Amino acid sequence: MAERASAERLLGGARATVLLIAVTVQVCLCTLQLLGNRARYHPWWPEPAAYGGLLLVAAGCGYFLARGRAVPRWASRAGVVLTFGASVLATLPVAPADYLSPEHWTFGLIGWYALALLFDRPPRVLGGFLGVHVVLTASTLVLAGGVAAGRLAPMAITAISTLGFQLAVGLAAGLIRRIAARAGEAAEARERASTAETIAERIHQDHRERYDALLGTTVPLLRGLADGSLDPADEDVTRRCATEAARMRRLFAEGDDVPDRLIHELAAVIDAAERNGVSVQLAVRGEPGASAELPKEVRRELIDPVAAVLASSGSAVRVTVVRTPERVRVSALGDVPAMPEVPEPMQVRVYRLATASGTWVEAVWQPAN
Amino acid sequence: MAAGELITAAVVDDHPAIRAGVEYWYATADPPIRVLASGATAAAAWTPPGDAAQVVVLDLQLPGREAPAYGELRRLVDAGRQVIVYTMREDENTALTCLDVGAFTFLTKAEGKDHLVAATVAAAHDLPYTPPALAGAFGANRRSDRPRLSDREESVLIEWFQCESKELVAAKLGITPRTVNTYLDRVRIKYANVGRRARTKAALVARAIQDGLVQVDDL
Repeated sequence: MAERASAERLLGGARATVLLIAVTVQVCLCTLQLLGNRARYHPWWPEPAAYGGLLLVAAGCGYFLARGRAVPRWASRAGVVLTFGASVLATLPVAPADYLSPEHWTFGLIGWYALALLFDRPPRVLGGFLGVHVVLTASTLVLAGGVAAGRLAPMAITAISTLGFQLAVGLAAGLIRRIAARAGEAAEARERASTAETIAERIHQDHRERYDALLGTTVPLLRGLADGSLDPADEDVTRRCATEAARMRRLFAEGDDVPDRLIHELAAVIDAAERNGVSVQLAVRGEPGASAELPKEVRRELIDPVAAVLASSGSAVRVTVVRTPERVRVSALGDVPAMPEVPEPMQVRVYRLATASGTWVEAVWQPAN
Repeated sequence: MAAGELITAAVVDDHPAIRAGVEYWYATADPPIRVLASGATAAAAWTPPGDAAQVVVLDLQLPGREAPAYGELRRLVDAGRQVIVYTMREDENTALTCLDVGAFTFLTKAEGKDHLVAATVAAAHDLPYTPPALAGAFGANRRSDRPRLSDREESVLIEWFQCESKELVAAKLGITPRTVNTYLDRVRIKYANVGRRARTKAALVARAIQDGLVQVDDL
């Protein structure tokens, strides 16, 4: 962020410098030339008018500069038209022999204004402006009756040195802009990298947490199966495997980015049960509402009892979710002879009801008031 | 209806297997229910012999239509028929809309024979019937025009939706299955009362008052 700010400051400083040059040249240099040669203009009035017009352009540039932004495209277009207008207006009363001499004060000046106006455009736009400037000046010269051939060479030298200098400054401005842009890009890239790093760290931590969640139950089961101390044909082992499979599916689903996480994770558990041949009927009532944002721990505690019934059930299970602003209830009814073990919940209430025909569990979460 | 007389029904469903299945369920019910007519469109319920059926079983998804057949439902209700909506649709909005329009009850196809037969018998006798899916819709309903339910009524509804067994609901809440029925019926009456003016409402409310389910002051 600091890099971006200093890049902005660099650009702002360069813009201010260019404008300052234009205003200084006009006020300190041109004013004297204008007043000193007052008798040589016929008529006189276009000169102060053009002078005022250029000050207006300076004020416009200053306005945007003070707000720390580039001159917008529409304003730079209007400024260019006004600058050319002032230039032509001030040139018309100048005698052909005085072209490009101190009496022709706008010739050297308006290039600085063009720099201020076109600072944020590519250098070729400034080149175009100066080209048009030369063509306009030549046209007014021809209209005014032309000039002796001997005067043309010194006039060309003056024009090339003045405009060439301005063009060189324009190219330097382009370079500054590119450096500033690159600094900004570098800052952004660094920021992206640091964000990606933070995300990766979080994901890793999340993976660790999920691994820890499996450590106590899944790992001993796998170890037992591997070293032969647990028999896969044993009914209890089969049930534990089904339970762990469901838990793992739920943990995988926890990482997914979905709008309705509770139902998504529940669907993952149901899917695992269906693969074991259990027929599951899921019915959902009510809007997600607050439950769309349920904390991970609450979702786990709501789903765990249902997963336990699903994992140990033989044939059919009815799973229901009812969501109201006051409560979220997740329930499962299955033909399980005895209620399977579920870790003691902290944030939800779990009801169990065992009958001859099966087991019914219901986990209820109530938002704290 | 005189005792011993068979209940009659008309079945409207676009799927022949569903019509055949419902007819079989009705034929094997005790006592059996007679299907006077069945067909893919509501014409089966409007033309003889279906127009004389006491109960119309109506699927919401009729051939050639995208939208649920609420219009057909409304016309049948306005003509004073007892209509059981029997549909694949599960969502509570459809259930509540059907009751608004004036359906006698709302049954999902997942709910099976027992509920359909029981609902048909209840419809023929103007007795309320609340299948589990409908109870779930009542329990989760947060529309502004829903009737005011007591906490006990609400938990009976939700638990009936969750387990589909009145015995289990009764065991969990420490009441008798008969009381569970009373709560369910009372809620259905309350819903009939906030619904549109229809034969369903008038008949249900009249019957409820006769049976002492609700007091006139409650309504």
